[in-house]
Parts: sequence; structure tokens; C-alpha cells
Amino acid sequence: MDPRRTARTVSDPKVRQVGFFTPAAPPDRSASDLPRQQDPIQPKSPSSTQVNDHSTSGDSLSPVMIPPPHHHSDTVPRTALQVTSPKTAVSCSSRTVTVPTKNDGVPSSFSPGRKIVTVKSPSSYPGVKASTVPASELTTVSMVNLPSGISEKAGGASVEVQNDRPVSSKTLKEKTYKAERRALQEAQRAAKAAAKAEGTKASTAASKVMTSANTKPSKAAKTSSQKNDSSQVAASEKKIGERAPEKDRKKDAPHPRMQYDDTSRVEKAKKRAVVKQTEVRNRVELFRHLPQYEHGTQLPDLETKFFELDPMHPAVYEVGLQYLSGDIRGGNARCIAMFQAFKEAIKDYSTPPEKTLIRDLTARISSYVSFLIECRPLSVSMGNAIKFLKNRIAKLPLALSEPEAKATLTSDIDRFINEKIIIAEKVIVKHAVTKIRDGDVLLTYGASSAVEMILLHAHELGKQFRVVVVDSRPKLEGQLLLRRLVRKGLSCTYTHVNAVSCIMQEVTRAFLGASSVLSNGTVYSRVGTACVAMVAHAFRVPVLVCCEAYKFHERVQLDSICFNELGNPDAISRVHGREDISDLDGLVNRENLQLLNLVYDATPSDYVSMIITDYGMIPPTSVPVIVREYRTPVVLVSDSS
Amino acid sequence: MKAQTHECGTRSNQTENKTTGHSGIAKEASHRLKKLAHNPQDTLQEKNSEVILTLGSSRTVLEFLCAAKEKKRSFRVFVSEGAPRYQGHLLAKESVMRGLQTTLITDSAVFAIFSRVNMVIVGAHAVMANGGVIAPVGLNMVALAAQKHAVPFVVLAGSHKLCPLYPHHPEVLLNELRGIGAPLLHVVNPTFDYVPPKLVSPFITDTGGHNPSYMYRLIADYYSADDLDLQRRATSGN
Repeated sequence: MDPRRTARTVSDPKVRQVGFFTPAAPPDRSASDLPRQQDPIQPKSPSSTQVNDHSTSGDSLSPVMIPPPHHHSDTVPRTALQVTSPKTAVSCSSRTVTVPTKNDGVPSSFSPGRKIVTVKSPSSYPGVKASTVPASELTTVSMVNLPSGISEKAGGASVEVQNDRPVSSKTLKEKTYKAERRALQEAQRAAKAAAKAEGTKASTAASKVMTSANTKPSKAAKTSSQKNDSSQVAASEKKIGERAPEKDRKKDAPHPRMQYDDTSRVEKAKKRAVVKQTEVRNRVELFRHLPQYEHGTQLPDLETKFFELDPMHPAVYEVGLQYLSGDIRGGNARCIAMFQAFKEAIKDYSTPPEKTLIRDLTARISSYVSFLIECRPLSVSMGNAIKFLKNRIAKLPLALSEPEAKATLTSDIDRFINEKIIIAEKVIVKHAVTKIRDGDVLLTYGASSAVEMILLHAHELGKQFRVVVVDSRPKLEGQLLLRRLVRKGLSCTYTHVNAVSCIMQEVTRAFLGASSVLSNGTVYSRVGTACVAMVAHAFRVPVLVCCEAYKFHERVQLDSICFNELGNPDAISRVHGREDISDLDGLVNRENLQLLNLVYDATPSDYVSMIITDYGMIPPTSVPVIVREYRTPVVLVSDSS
Repeated sequence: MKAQTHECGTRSNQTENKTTGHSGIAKEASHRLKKLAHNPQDTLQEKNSEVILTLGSSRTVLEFLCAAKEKKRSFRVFVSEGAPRYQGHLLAKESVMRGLQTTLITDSAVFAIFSRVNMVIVGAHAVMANGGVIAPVGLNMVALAAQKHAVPFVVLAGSHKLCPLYPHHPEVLLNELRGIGAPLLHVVNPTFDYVPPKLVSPFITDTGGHNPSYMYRLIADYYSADDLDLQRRATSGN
């Protein structure tokens, strides 16, 4: 611990490690933080030695400064991971060796001072500090891929690439390849725009983009590019210098979502779309920005398009249709189904001539994903899973032959499903069962697979408790859960969401499932969860949210309107099983009647007492820690290949 | 009338008083809207800015909203359907017929849209002497959400809905439970919700707008202590 102390006092103490980390590993990194910032080239060798030193934390590719978590609660078989890590450490160090020459070459060959400024500037950006250290290795990876003889223009791009990587590597690792490229293009455009006299204005616009993904970000980017067209003024180096960190920060922020009320964007999207998009009758004013539900028109369209969609794999197509028809629902089920389909697709994949597997397969997966999005918007969990897969593809060693690469990917997918979903659920059950006592009355809402497992497991353990199943229209998922529970012999009470305040007096705990947990502690879940949590909070009933850690997301959401999904509006006008409710039969096409079928809502973190995840039971304030932490295992898993 | 109404405003009373009560409240509505029109903040937002949420069906609410529309106030109405009776469908239908901009939502989506709601306007089944409200089931949830989002929770109640009783355990005693029971399965289906007075911001009655704390005084105007005694003797006699 001695070197650690001294190092801390010498280097900047801003890097604080909070949460889960092994005590030995981090200090060296923070120690080498400061010198690295002064000179981006010099500290390469210490970092590579460092990596070799800590064989267990050989997360050589990880830009996250915390070592991989060793939680008491983590039952994921760690031995398998550890065995493989030394190898990766070696391979990584060998990669790093190549770096200095390359890195030396860059500033010398591309002499314009402007480029050098961009290279250096990110390291001066304070927010980056945490990720700079290990990022150097990441840079090398990217550079190895670059061809050595590059033209002037491509060289400029490559400089940008390697300058971006260290900075935003934290998020970049999980970012999709396509998004990466797009962000790069945007950044270049923005850099050009900044070069002109009113550069400051553009930068404010850009900062606006970063601060809020909800306000239309495309607009700001557009204006800056337009300005660029109108006047080409000589570049001022200073502007570029101040420009660069903002650009990088922009990449750090989560990618802005498509806003469906932005007509120009929607037009562009339509051109790209596989399926013909139709205008919806009655849009709800507040929710124009969301993708509208167009089930009826989409299904036949998709069916006819099957033979036209040349590259679509049948397994992916099948899963897409199942999403569309609602046969597969629930975050975990959708995620597993998607991955199984991708596995099939990878199995049948063969690299076309004159293409590299890494690029072509990534593009292929992207096209599958955009098809699935058209069937139903992705859930956060699926987004995370896709990021993982693309990351894995991008990280495949070039030397690997095609069958080997495919085998690696399929085993990665299997491992993801197993570790992140199946085992995670078991761990959650193990934790949650400790919170159930004899005589409890447990309330649950809808049908969450995790909660169902918890209840059944507690019943198997012989605990005496009663379950209150709260349900709501239009899905009435609770009835399915109720049926399964009663069949297993649990004593149940069934009611609808309106009556929840009547029943809440006798409830002792509320167990809720979640589609995602966002980094401000907001629980994003099936619509109605917020109501139930609110009433439980009002009646001083603890609210326990069960959610696997792979569903956590770094986004922040304040209400349920900015980001949501719309369901079938016709499900509102007709009440299943109540034919006497037919007031709206002839009115559906009236202009001043809109039917709104929201799918998700956001529960404020105030209402959540505890989040039960595979890393243990945490308060909602600790979600960002898990989000940060979660990246490390993904990389660690990836290294073991 | 006084003697009849102390039973939480039963159906017969409602029909009897509907005509007088509604016109009175409609008058009050126009008063209120005049006030709204003077509100500069309100005049600033012009086009469809005001979002009003209601749950279930109440003729009073419908009359109120239509009166507001006649005053050229522009607003949109979100109607929560109000399971298990789905009276919201009825209200949505009638308000669409009358040309109001209406959106029908499920009860579970109430919290989700609350961040854009400017006002909750609901009807009541009965108003208790402490200012608490016996209302269609689900309104307690809406009232809690309104409190969370600092949105006025306006209860429209004609004076025929005033009830001189103080609620005691109202969720059970002043409710109609229509559930069914089986060995393992028990279904709870209450008809009414009790909204405590602290969640109601103003009452609007045909005598004007009042705070919940004032309701006991208003009730004292209509019911004398003798009537209360009479009722007790009558019930015990039965």
C-alpha cells in the first residue's frame, strides 16, 4: 500500500474509486494518470507493464479504470474467466508494442499543426481523465487496423479516429460500429463548421446537442453544416483546439434517438425503410415524436417483402414477425430470441470475397437489427446485448479464420445468454427470497419473469405468504401469472390497477419487474408500474425492483413522454371480454378522438426502496456504479477468447 | 331534500338534483373560466396547451368542460377509462360528440402522462364532512399522482353530494366490494375510492369554490344536527 499512498499524493487525486474494486489494482493507474496526460506517447510502456503485472485484472482493453468486480454475490463462474486472462494480457502487450512507432509517425507525417492540436486536445479535457489511462491500448488496437500508406484525407480521418478513441472509449466500446462512423462524420463536419468565423456559435449549438437528447439534436448539427457550406473561412487553430473536446464530449453522450416529429428525418428514414410506412390516423399530439404503431399495415407488407429482403436470414425474419405479433414479449425473452436468431445467422454466414469478416458481419448484424426495429422498437436490454455482440465482432483478432471466428461468436452469445440472463435471474431470486418472511403479503404488477421465479422459489422453500397480483388493461398479463401461480398452489388475490390503493393496506412488500433501470435510478418498466410504486410509497410499503444488470442503461430520463413506445390503439377502444362496452365503436375515425396505448412508464427513484440485481441489492442511487461496473465484465469476457 | 341526501348522494337523489345542480355548477364553471381568462399565464399559452385529465364518467365534468369550450378556452382532455366499469369510454364518446379534443388512455398510463397534465377535474360520488371524497375507484391513485406533480386536483360536486358523516375506515365501510372468492384465488373489486382531504385542492360546488377544510361548514348549512339524530333513530328503528 505504500506506493499507493505516495502515488496518490503526487498525482492528481481527482480519480476516486467508489464502489466495487479490488484494493490492489487501481492505484497504479491513477498514479500514471498525470504523466500520461502531459505526453500521449511516452507512457505507453508503463501501461503495458502494468497490464502484465495484474494478470487477474488483465482487462487490457478496458477503458474503465476500475478493475473487474469481485462481488460476494457474483456467482458467475469466475474461474473460467481467470484462466484465460493471462493469455490476453500477453496478446495485449504485444499489441501495445507496435504502438509507439505508429504513434510517432502520425504527428510527423501529417505535419499540419491543426491536426496535432486535435490529437492533443482531448487529453486536456478534464472529464476524460478517468478513461485516458487504459485507453491507450485501445488506441493501438484501432491503429493496427489502419493501413500504413494513407492518403492525405484518410490520414486526417485516422488522426481523428485515434484521437477520439481514447477519449470516448468508455462509451465507445459499447457503441455500435455504425453509430461510431456516423458520429465521426458528424464530428468532422462540425469541426469544419467550427473553422469559420462564427465557430463559437456552432459550438454552443453542439453543446446544446450534448445536453439534451430530447430537443432535436439533428437541427443543431444541420445548422452548423449549413453554415459551413455558405462560407469557407480559413481555419483558425485556436478554434479547432477548443472545438475538439466538445466534439468528443458529444460522442460520450448517448446517441440521440430519432424524433418522429422531425419531418425531414422521417423522410430520410422512410427511404431507408424496408417496410412501407403509412401515416397513422390520429396521432396523439404529445407523442408525435415516438414511432407510431402501425401493426395492421406492417404485417402483410413484411410478409410480401420476405423474398425481396435478400440478406435477411430466415431465423431473424421469424423472430421479427414474432415480435410484431406479440408472441414474444418481455425483455429477457425478446433478447434471448434475438440472440438465438443471430446465432443461426452467424452459423450460416460466409464472408463474401474481398470483404473482411469483421466489417461485413457487423454490417449484416446492423441490417438485421434495423429489421427488428421495424417490427418493434428495441428494448434497452436488447440494445445492450447488440452493443455487446458488435463489440465482440469488432474485437475479433484479424488472424482468426472464419470458422474459428464464428465459433467464438456463437460461444460468446451463449455465454452472454447464460451469464447475463439465466444465471443473473437465479442470483436475483436467491437475493430476493431473503426478503420474504412468513406471513407476508407480496404485491406484484403484471407478469415479470424474475418476480415469478422469486415467488415460486419462495413457495418451494415453504414460506407462508400471500400474493396480490395487480393487473391492467390492455395486456392483462397478470392473468397469465395468476394462472401459473394458482396452479402451483400459491394463495393469490387478483385485482386491477385502480383498486391498488384499496388493497395496499394489507400488503407488506411490492415486487416489481423492470424493462430497464436508468442511471438516475429511474425504473423504466411496463406501464402502470409507476402508479403501483407510487401508491406503495404512499402507504409506506417497500418497493423492490428486480432487474438484471445487463438491462441497466446510462441514459437519464425524467418523464415517460420523451422516450416510450406506443402500442396498438385499437386495444383501448375495445375491452376484451366486455362486449357491452361499445361506446367508441363508430367514433374511432373521428378527428378529435385519439386513443393512446403507452407501453412503458418511468418510475421516479423516490418510489424505489431497493433494486435487486445480480450484483446484489442496491439502492437506486447506486445504479450509476453498476452501469460503470457492468462494462468491465463484458470486456473481460471478450478477452477470454 | 335534506332528509334524503344524507345517504352519500344515492342514485335517486342524483337524478332528482341533476338539473339544478348541473346548471349551478355550469354557472360556477363560467365564473371560474372568467378567472382563468384573466390569468396572464393562461393567455400566453394559446393553442391546445392546457391538458385536463379526468377519470371515469361524470355528467358534471362533461358539462363543466363543455361550458369551458363555449368560453373559447382551448384545451385537450385526457380521459382515463376507469376500470372496471369503463365509464371513461362513455365520457370520451360524449365529449367527442360535443367537439372536445379527447384522448382516451388506460388507467395504468395515468402516471406516465401526468408530467404534461395541467389540471385534474373529476366528479365525486359523495363529499364527506371532513372534506374527503368518495369517488370512483382509481381516483386515489390519480390524486396521489397529482400531488406528486403539484397539479390541482379539482373535485366538482353539487351540494346534493355533500354528506354530513365523517368517514371512518371508508375503504371498507363506505364501499361496495364485488369480488369473488375461491380457495386459493380471491378477487378484489371495489367500487369506490376514498380520497383524503389533503389531496384535494379545491372543491367546486354550485355555491362556489371551497377548500376541503371548509366543507364541514357548508354541510352545516344544509344539515342540522337534528337531522343527523333523526337519521340515527331511523336506522336503529329499522
